[in-house]
Amino acid sequence: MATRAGTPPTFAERLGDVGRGTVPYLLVMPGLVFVLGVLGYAVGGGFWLSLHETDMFLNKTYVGAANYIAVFEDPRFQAALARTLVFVVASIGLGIVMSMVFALVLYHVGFGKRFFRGMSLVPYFVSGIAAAVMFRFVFTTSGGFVNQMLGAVGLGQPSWLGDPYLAFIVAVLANCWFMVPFATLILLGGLQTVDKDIYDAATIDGAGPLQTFVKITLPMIKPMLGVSLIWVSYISFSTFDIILALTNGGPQRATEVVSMYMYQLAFLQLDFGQGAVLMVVLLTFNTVLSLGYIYYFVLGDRRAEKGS
Amino acid sequence: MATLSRRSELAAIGRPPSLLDTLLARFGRLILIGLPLTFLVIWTMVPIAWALLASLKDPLEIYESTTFLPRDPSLQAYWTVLTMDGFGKWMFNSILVTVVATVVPLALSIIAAYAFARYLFPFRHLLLLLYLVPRIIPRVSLIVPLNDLMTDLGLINTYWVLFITYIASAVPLATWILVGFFKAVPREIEESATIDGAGFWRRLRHVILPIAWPGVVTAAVLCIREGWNEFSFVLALVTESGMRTLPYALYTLKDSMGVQDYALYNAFTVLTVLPLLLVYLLLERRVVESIVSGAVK
Amino acid sequence: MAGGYVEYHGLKKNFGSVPVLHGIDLQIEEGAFVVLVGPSGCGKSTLLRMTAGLESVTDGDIHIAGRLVNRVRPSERGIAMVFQSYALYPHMSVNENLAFSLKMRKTPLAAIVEAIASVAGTLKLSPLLERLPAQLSGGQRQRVAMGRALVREPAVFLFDEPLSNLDAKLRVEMRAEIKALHQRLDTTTIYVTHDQIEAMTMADVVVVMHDGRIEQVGPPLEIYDRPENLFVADFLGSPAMNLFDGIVVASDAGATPLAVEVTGGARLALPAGIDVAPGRQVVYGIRPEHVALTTAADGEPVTLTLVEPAGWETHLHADLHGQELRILTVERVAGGPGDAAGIRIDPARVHLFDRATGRRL
Repeated sequence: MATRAGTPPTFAERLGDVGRGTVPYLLVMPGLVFVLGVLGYAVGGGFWLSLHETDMFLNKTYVGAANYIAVFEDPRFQAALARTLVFVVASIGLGIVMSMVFALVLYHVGFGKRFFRGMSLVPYFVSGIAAAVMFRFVFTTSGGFVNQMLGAVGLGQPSWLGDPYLAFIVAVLANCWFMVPFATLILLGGLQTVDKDIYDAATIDGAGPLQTFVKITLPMIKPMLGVSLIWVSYISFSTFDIILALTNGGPQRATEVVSMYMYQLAFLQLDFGQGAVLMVVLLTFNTVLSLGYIYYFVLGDRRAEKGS
Repeated sequence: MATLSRRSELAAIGRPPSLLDTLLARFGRLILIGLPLTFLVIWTMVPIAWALLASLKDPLEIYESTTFLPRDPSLQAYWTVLTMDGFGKWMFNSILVTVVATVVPLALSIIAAYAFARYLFPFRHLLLLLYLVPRIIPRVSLIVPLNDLMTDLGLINTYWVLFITYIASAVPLATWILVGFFKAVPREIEESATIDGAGFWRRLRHVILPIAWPGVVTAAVLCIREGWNEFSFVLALVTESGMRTLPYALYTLKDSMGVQDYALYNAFTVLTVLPLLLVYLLLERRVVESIVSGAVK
Repeated sequence: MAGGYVEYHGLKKNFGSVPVLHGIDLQIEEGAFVVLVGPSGCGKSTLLRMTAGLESVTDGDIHIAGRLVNRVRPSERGIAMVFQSYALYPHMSVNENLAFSLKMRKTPLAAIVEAIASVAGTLKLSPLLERLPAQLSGGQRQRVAMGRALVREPAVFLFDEPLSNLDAKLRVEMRAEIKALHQRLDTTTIYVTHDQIEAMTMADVVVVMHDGRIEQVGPPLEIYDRPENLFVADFLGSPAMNLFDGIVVASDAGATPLAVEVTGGARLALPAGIDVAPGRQVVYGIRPEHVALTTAADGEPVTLTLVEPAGWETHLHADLHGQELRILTVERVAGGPGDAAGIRIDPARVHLFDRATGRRL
């Protein structure tokens, strides 16, 4: 009914005692000063830094794309980028499947619903560093939880954190442990929005449990699926503290992802310019991925709704 | 065999299910739910439980491949950590920055979220976007330029640098949550309060905030979480031992220890995690509800 | 003081560039129960909200009790409002809900307690004072909303579709209760509804609104019996008035000199003494209850198309030379669809409107 131009002004706007015009801007400004002043500056400053070379005395010289060229020709960076992509793909794959399974379990569990939900979110509140330390002890070769379990059933005692492949797997697991709980609850929220009558209708129409899940549940929770995908890929791309404290990028750089190499470049080799290039890389990947998810999962649905 | 298949055939046709069918269905359900549920519990709790157990063990016992439970539980490691040089200061630092990084962003976000939820003003979509886009910027990616900026400003190794950066990253989070909760407060209730004579601040205090209280609590808990667990910024902006927060101190513990006292290590871990978990357990219901209802994204 | 207790002079309202009220002029007597009625989007709620001060005035004046209130805050206009959703504060008990406005006005505690006790007694809320709104039934919430308005002892009560969230039975009860309350307190009341039954049963004065304009003001029965224009004729009454386009012709038979030949060819009688020239384009209106059903041989022949027995009355639809005719009778009707019948119209009950202007002739 209300056209855009004719949208009634909001309640507060009509009120004489709050005034109009500048008031909302005054309310919004203080927070924005912090957000733009710090984060906005950091992003802008990062781009600027990536075009400069910093010497020992922190003098900066404009070098154009030189840092970018150096970084992209650097085999260590190429390896780190490839490793990050594998890490992200593995984490998203494992993470989303686990989140979905956990969400379904929490949805269907008949007793202690509140308890299990509350418990499932606990890892979300453990810091990355603490999570990494915990995982180190769970995967300690001698006396660690996993190897004790393997020993009890007569299996070998692998050196989890000493072997490049195994260490990479442990890093993915630790990352999943930290990020899955939040995604689980988001998906659970999605499951709860589906009207139970729809499941009954599907059963009457002859759909089995698996068909119902694929044909009914998944499409209906698409927006929530998108949100949880944004979350898991955001966490996986920017994973840093977990790997730093778990493996410190080792063994033999097997877990050196882009963020790790960025820290290495900027803070240990003091090459801020190239470090900033890696920041730009991280930022770009993350933004493109997030926008892609938003476009596909959230906006796509909304447009379909509007169209009908 | 024949009778069994005949039986299930009949059941499929629509005869009332027999006791056996019911039992099978119950059992199937039990496995289908029970197995993943067990896995969920083990997966979630083992790392924490293991740290807790290890913190109670004798330092050398941890190397043994046969002890699951501590042979002779002792709180010695906790005593060592609590009396450790600097631990009190780190704890103080963590509490201080967390409190500041919760109270200030909440105050800023409450008024900003009110504006976004209740006013129509030009550029509001753009401004809201500026508030929200930072949610998808990886914090770690900012440490290089931030270090550069803060060095120029001479703020490295001060509380100010932590306050500023923590507040900046908490404001978008809190605003995002609160806008949704404020929008959900029916407009008529606020109009009614206006007729009853309540001005802007009174409406906020007596009407909006009490009704949107679950949102405020959720935003507060998540701000506390961000502040307490933050690592990238403190790593990049603080070098002095006395300015560290607990996660940073835990990280550096590895390097500073000559002999690896694993019990102590685990006790330290438990002590850094415990305060936040207590906050969470206290307010668990509101937080879980908010996330499940889609209010936190 | 000349004029009314609440007065509107040339009141206009635009939302952005869209006008929603086009100059309202209305005077409301002190103590009157005025119902603003009209289809959704007609501007009745906007007018009420402007009276409350929840909407700004684009142009024109609002006076309450002789005071220009255009720029007076809602809380200082001496009004109280009951909202459609009740707008109870969900986190406050009934007691606190009732006390809120008094607390905002810094009323002494003793006076607050006394005011609440009196209002709670009036509205039978006393046993509910400690409950939260969520623990109340719909009717109880409605009472609390009214109590919250009462406790302010306002000069004017404003009601914004207060009964639309109640079920049918409760609505009838609350209707009577609000009316009784008004008779006891005699406070000027402006009541917005889209429900014509509420308008007819409760009002001293009905204001029919349409598209941001007032169509007619008057006592309910006067409006029902003498609608000033086509909109009011069509809007009030259920089932709605039969309205047929037609041309005034000289009557070839019967007592009256004129008749109307409506689309389809039927000739319908006009009352004696009406002054219209033959050949004029008109709209011929007759309420369903003023059409009498007879046998096919007796009156204007029609074919029944639908018979809806509703208990004590019967709704009929009939085909009158291609026009649909609604008939309402308290008789039981034996016929069914397809049966032939006849109708007879009481000429004294006919409403005649000019086709071009829509005005009553």
